Amino acid sequence: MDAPLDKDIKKMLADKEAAKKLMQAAIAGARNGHSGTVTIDGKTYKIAKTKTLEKSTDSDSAL
Amino acid sequence: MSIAFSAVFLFLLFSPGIAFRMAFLKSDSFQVTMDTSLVSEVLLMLFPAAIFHCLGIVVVEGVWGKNVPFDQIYYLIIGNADLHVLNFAVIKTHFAFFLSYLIFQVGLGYGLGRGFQWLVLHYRLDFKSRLLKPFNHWDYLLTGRFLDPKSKIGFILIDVIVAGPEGDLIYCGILEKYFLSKDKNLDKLYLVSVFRRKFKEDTKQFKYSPETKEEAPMPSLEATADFDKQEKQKFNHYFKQFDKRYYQMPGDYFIIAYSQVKNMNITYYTLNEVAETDASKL
Repeated sequence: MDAPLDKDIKKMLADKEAAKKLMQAAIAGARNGHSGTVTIDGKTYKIAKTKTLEKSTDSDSAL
Repeated sequence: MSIAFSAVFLFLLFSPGIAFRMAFLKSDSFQVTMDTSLVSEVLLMLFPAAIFHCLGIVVVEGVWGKNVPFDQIYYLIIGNADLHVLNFAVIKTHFAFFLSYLIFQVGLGYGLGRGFQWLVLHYRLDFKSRLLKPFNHWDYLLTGRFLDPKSKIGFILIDVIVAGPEGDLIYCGILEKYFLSKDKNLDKLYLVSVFRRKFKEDTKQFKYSPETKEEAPMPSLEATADFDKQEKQKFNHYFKQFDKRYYQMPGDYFIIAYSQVKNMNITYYTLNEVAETDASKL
């Protein structure tokens, strides 16, 4: 099944540099409590974390 | 008449219910949509099949004025081989119509099954009753469906720990697709824009420490009007450390079998376009 992927994210992923910035913003920025930003085609996007789940092999307990 | 023929005939009669159930449980991630060994599945297919046939008989007899040869259907179901009771002339006359009727019923069952799935998903009825859950728990996790529907997910970031020859490695990437196996477990993950690092090179080693060694809680940018100098330094610090810690994997797709994954971390992100004036503040 396809995972949810915003059309603007798809656009960023097509550009290697933008994809790297996106990952930096997500990992180094949003994950550490900040809202990371990425700019592509003159538009700036704010990336923020919604919710985190720690997932172990016991998948049933996660829900 | 053999028992096998009766089974085939019963299967044909069940087929609209099977189509309905399969359509309702349809998930692209499954290689097999349902576990046919379960008795409950048979029962859940029997009910819609019975409803479809009841309605079908009403239409065939009431609207078209055709007589349904119930006696012949009964003999075929019980496998009666007595040539005195089986009327092949009647069977021959109705055969083409019966096949057309079944094809129509299977199509109707499939269409209604998809429609019912859409209704359940749209009105989130699957959260009200377990019987109405069309998907596997992995689907709920990896699509973020269980989250508040208002929080529109931009993308899902996956971190997986995999054993390597020099210790554990973390692969971090954006989830694009996933597949489930026959036994309804996670089979494969398709990640894009993947970065790798050694597990031991955790943030501890690269942790920001100005004067105090104790790590202060880092408030989110939105929550703090005073995004002070120290916060900015921390933010920049993690950005700078990124290249030291992470190696960008070449290639467009990174496919990983879940059987190799020791542990998985799922993070859901939202994406919002910001006005230029707001962006300059960030």
